[in-house]
Amino acid sequence: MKTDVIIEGKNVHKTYDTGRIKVQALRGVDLSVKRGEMVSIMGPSGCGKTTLLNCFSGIDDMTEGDVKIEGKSLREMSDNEKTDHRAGRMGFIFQAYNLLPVLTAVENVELPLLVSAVNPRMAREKAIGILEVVGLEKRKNQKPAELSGGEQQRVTIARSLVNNPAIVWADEPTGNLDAETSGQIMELLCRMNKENKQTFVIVSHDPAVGEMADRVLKMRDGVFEKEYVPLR
Amino acid sequence: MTMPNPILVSLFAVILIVIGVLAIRRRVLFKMGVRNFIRHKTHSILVVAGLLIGTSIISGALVTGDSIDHFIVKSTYDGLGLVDVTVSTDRVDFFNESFFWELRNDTGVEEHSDGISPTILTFVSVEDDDSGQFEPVMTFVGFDPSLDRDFGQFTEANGSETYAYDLGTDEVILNGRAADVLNAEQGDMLRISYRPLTLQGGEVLQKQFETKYVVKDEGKGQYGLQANIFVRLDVAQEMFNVSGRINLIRISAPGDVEAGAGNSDELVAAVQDALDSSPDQGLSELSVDAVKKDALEQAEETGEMFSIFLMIFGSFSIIAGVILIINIFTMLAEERKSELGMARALGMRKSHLMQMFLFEGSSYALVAALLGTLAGLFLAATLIFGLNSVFAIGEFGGIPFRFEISSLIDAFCLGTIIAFLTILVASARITNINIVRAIRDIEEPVLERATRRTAILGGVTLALGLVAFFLGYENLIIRLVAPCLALMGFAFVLRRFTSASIAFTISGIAIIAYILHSITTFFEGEMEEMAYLFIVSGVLLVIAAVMIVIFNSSLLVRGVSGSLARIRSMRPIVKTAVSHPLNKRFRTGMTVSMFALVIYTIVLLSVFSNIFSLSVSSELVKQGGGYEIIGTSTIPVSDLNNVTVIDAEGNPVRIESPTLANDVRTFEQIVATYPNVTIDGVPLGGTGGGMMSFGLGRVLGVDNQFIQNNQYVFAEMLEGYTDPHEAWDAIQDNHTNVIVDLSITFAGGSGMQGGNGITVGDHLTIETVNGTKDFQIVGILDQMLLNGIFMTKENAQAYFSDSFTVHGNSVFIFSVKDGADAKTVTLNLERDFRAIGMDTRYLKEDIESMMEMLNSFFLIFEIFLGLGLIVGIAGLGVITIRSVVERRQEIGVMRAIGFRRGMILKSFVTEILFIATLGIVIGTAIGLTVAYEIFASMMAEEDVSFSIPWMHLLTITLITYVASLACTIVPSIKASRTSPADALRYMG
Repeated sequence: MKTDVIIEGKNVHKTYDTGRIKVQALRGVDLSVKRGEMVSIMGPSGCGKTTLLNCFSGIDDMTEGDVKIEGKSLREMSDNEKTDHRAGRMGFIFQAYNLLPVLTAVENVELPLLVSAVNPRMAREKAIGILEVVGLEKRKNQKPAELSGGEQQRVTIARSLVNNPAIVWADEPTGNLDAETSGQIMELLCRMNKENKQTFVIVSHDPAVGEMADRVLKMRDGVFEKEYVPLR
Repeated sequence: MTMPNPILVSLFAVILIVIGVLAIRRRVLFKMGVRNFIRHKTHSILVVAGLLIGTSIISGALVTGDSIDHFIVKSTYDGLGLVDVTVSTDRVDFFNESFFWELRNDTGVEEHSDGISPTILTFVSVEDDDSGQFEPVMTFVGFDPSLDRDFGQFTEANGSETYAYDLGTDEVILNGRAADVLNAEQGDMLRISYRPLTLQGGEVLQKQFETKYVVKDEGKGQYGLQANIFVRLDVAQEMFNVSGRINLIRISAPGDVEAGAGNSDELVAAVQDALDSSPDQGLSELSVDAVKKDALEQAEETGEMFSIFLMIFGSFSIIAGVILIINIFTMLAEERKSELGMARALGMRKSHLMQMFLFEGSSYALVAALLGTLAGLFLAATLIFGLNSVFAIGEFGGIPFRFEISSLIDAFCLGTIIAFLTILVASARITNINIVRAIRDIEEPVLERATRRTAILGGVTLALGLVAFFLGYENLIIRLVAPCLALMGFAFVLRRFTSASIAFTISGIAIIAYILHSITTFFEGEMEEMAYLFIVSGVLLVIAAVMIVIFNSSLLVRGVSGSLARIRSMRPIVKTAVSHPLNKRFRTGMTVSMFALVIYTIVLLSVFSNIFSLSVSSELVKQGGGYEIIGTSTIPVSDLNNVTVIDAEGNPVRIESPTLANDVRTFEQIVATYPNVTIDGVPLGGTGGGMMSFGLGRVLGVDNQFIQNNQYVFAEMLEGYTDPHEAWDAIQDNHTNVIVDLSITFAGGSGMQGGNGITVGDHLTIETVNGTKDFQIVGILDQMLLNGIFMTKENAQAYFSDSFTVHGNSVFIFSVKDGADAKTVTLNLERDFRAIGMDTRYLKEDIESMMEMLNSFFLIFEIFLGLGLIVGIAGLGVITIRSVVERRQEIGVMRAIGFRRGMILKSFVTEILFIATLGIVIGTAIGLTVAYEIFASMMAEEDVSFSIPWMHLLTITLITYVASLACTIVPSIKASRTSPADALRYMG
């Protein structure tokens, strides 16, 4: 039976130990996100937003505490289980787009499907379909270097959504974009959230991003300082 | 001690001075450059490892040359001792001893010599009655202890020295080698079998001697580095019934063993003057040879030739090393692109960046050249060990490991110069950056069409290539390179109107087609020219093939992805693994070229060694002509069935050979002699001739029985002959017709096709008793084991009547009866006929050992060539290390979107294998194609098929893969273990 809470983290700590100094990036964070919710985590640089995203999505290990994704504890998962879980149930959007430069737009988008062993032809069809959704079907054979920043971010969004994930993690998705393009990208994310009922966790320091979320959590020094629902 | 090459040393000094001056003027740049070298240790180790291979090959080649040179020089000094000049006769076997006295009393000769001695030098068969051992062929030296005084003393085993004045008439001296083979010791009674000149036919005399001294193999105790038996000259003259005659005068030039050779020119001139001014006509027939000086020159030439040979083969590895340098610097530039852009933006000139790279590169170059020079010593030691094992030259002490400091200096300088020049070119290329694109780390745009400037440059290159081709057509290298240059220029012109893929594919195919079409004509050149053509054509073929592959990468990606995509789990791995290298065309092209070049040479060598082995094997098998055993005797006999030995007591004893009677089906008896033979004035089988020169200039006199019985086939016959009998009849009908064996076509000359180009219808000039005569070749036998110039026995005896060897048979070929063991028969015949010095060879065994030797020889060179693979593998290592750093963020993303650790590892491994495979496939394909082209045009008519040693090639491929993986697996594992969060945080 599906529970309403899709992400549940309790007392999550993350300490970076460089040998000489220790930096406490997360100091006992508790976070619960409901299925289909769009949550925005905001705060100044260095407050621990990206660390939170990394630890909660399972791409980084936490020092203390636990996170349950769809009821499964990340602590109890092996590296491969976490990886497979990411491949099947999660999508990622990064500030620097992080597309593979040697692959075309459509090849970048279909990559998560190939990782999940989807038939190549189906993967290609699905990738083209999702590129249509983000308005880039005509640019599908271009390599990232031949696309603008906004277009690259749309390809990243397409890649994050192509495997129909339950959760999309977005790290500063508009960080490298101008205001107008940022608006377009956020509208796209909102549309996806509404249409597909997918859960979005968006890390950003852009107030405009927060305004479009269902809930905003403000971070400072590795803990949540404040939580509010933006006025629309 | 030889001096280093002044040009290399000067160039090196110039480079050092330039770097030094620049370093003083630009200290900051110098520090920045050198710091990079020190900072990235693993990277630097790989770069140095890759770079040092080139120098090690140069150093290894030079040191091997030094060792071979030293070996021959030492053998020459040991074999000749104080003898610097000899006076002997080529045609007449013995001459009057009075000639010796004339020379000894000549003031000119006396002035330029410090020793002169009359000698009888021949071969005898010796049997030790005490040990029961025998040796069919032993060098017999008749000397006069008093006159020989100036040539030093013999050294006995206990270290005491003797002139052997007390050597009795029934006593001999054995050197170490002779004592070893006979298992003899002082006091042993020896029986020497010999035949005096006056005896004709089947009688052999025996004489018994006591071993007076067993002397060490040193000084004059090891003449010709053979097993020697020394007797008094008067005894030798009496034995051979040549009282008052000798066949050799040994003369020592002033100075010790080494210095004498340097003074031999004056001595030769003085001796020649004395002979020319003598009223005695007989003296003019004697030849004066500066034997030691000639041998030393030969040693130097042989050593040098060997060095050049190794360097030619190693040049592909050296070129691969050059490519590695360019690749490394291209990657360094990519890695520091933003840094370089910022530096330029802040005011640094292009020349400053170049200097920075030069400082860094020179650090690599100097360290690599130093280590490479030392590694070359190890390489040479290994090669020499291999050569010693293959050629079993241990009895001569083996090739010693020796090197001249000058060779090491030359190798070091040359290695540094090559690396420095390459770095200079690479630095100029990589510092040519667009500042904005560099700062923003944006890839250089790929132009749809060539710019007008590029097209014009292409046009100029095209024109230059064509002009060079027509003007320099006579020069084979220009004939090879110029059209390729023109085609490259054409590609750039075409690029103005079409895509790079089409332009470079057309150009690449045209270059390959041109080279393959004309490759065989290049083999008409001289050896050295051919070597350069071999290198240049190989490099051009590889460049063209790599160009085609790299510019059609999209097809390749599709093909590889399509075929590997059948394995579901491999799809994402293959997609990323193949796309990366093909996106970096230059870098990948360079790495692929490194592999392809080395693999090309290895494939070519192994295919030809295989064909050659099979060819030699099949050739040699049919070379027996229906006979299994060849025997040669030092004493000619009229009839092997009727040989009588007059024993030491004077009793005639007939040699009974149950083996000959029971186990031999049939045998032929042939006379042999060694006159001077020339072709167009060039001596066949080298200068010297005479009894000591067994080989190509041998005349074989055959009888009618041989002509009727032999089953030898002809490689060529005079036009009009359809049956071998016609050729044999021709030598019977016409005294000036001869038949030769195949080896004569390989004697001398430098062309590949047909050796010296000798063919039927050509004439040989042979010195006969009636002066020089021309003989026409009417047939060339397709065999080399029974080598010589065949004429009838009667003709040989008439033409060379002054040579005692033609008055008896000394070459025998035996056919063994069914059921008899040929090997046992071989040994028994040698034992039965030991009294006439019978030396027998079982042909099958000869062939097998020759094959083994050939294969080992080729293997040694393949291993030597294989060193070049280290360059390619080091190149892959560098690329992998760079890729791990370069793609750190990508790895993070891949891990984030679901690539497991194992998939990242597989992705890197697949990429490495993909690059290695491209190189292996291209190198193998070109190697096989070129091998086939050469085979088709040069060997197709021969009775041998084109055969590819697949297992051998597979082994090479596997070794390459394993070594590539071994060198790249650590960074690949490191990449797979990168934490995705850390990787995503990495800012490059």
